[in-house]
Amino acid sequence: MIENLIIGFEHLIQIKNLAMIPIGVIVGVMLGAIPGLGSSFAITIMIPMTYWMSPEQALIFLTNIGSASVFGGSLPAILLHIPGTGGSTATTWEGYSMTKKGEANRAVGISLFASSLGGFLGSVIVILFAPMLALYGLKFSYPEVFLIAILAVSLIASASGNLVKGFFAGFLGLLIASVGTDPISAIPRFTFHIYGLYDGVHYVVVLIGLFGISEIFFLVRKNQIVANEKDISSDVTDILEGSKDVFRNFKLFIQSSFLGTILGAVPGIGPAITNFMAYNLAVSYSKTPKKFGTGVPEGIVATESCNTATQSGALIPTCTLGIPGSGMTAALLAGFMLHGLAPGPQLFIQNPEGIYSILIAFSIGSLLIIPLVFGFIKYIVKIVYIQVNLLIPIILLMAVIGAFGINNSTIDIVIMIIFGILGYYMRLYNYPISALVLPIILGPKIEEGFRKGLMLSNGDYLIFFTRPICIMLWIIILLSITAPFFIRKLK
Amino acid sequence: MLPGLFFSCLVLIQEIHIMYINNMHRSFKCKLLYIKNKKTIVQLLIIFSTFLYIIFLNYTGFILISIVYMYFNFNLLQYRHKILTPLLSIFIPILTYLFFGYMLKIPLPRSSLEESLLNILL
Repeated sequence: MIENLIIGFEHLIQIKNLAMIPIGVIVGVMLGAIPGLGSSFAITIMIPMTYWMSPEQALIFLTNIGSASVFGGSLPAILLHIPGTGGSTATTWEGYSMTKKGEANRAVGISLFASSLGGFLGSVIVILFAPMLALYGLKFSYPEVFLIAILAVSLIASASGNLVKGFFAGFLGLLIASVGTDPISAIPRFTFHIYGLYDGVHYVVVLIGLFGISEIFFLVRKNQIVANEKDISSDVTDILEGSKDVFRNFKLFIQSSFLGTILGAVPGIGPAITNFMAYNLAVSYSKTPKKFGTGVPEGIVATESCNTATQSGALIPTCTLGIPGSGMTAALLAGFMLHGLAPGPQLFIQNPEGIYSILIAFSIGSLLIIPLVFGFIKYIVKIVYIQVNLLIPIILLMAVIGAFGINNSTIDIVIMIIFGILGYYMRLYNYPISALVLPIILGPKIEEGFRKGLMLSNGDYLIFFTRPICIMLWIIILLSITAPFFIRKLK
Repeated sequence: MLPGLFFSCLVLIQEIHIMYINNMHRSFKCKLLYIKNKKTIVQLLIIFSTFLYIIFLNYTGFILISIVYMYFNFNLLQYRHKILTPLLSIFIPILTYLFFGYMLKIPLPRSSLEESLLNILL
């Protein structure tokens, strides 16, 4: 393996290959920062630009776009309360609260360092253990994916405050998730003969509405994002303070990165799911869990390190088995195919220099985000200084394009506005938005996992209880539900 | 489209109802004139302008309706400057169109007028 690594490194050290790393990172951060355009979109639209490149250059460029766009997605989440990608949803809760307190520099600093180092750690794990983790990922079938989705829901349910309001929001979320064509029988459900609803309600449209548009309605009542202008700090030391926060919570950072990498290796589990799990991990390990939601650095450390590590982990099944682990890697797989590389077990044997140079470039790119973005943070953060009457029309136009760009359909803009109104009233009456968002993201996974799991067992429900990984997951689910009660009693 | 308009109408009715309850002690004329929170009307106008924007988007094309939409929203939110307001209202949609429509290949709706203008310019 070391021999292959050296060959890969030698292959990478060519000016044309190396140059693709920073270019990919910059493009990735810029595209990821546009709400609605996720990492898969960023890679897809950049594929035609790689026609003139060699396979290694193209894939180095594309993989780095994928990893950097995750960090890019956290910028609007922290500064404007609009998650740029599904993976930065949980980041909005602590990130935007810190921005409102005048700690935007620190929040972006945490995100930068946690994302970058999390991605690096994840990619190192991928390089060292890719073939081994690929076999473990293959053991996850529909029943396991179903239980992971249930685990994510149970983790958030145990962390939410008001049970009745949380239950109501969760039920509404499941109802919304069922809109669209039935995945098994292809029968339309709750579509009301509206063509745009046949594909269901895309969760990114929902996120832009619930977080972004609802925030616009709140901003209308203010003059600026930050309550007191004097509170805004634009010192570089604040960004460095953010880096210190990552090292202060080093154990949490390592745990979240491992969680992201391992779950990322499971096909179908993307950062949109893992960031919630990492957030809950931070809440459960915190000495002051009640402070979460008011701008706690641990929340950003956990979510940001986890979502980038998930993207690294998703490379495992893609490169070793040819199975995309997430939307980003599905787009990346198209890039592999286009350049004549067939991902699968043979790729590591037939073209070790190519695949290892791509993986090494991915880890270098993860680290390179820090020097490339660090200098620009204090300028990016200045967006919170802008008067809201100038900012709102611009954000509205960006949100409209972001929603439209997902399916190129105007119905998505209507859905976004409806969820904006819903989000506004939910926040006004203290309904937990997380309880609504999570079933919308996980609903299709839960349904697919459950129904296809039953099809595998010819309708026998025992399939969800007898498989070894399922048993382990059930124990974790039960622990996650009961542990908070026991911990409270012990205290 | 229709469910969206229906939903926003429901919100509007609810807001008027809340305003009515808040001002029950006032005369009918006062009830109509007295709007406790002007910002609520701004919020509602943003929603309605967005729905109108969506309706006209397919007929007028992205650039023209976006210019009107931006100009309306700037004025609605009291961002009134003799030069900057119209300038931003024109340049932001054009730049956005060039970035998203041309560079990122998002098929933003185009009217025949826009199409001929863009063919001449680009």
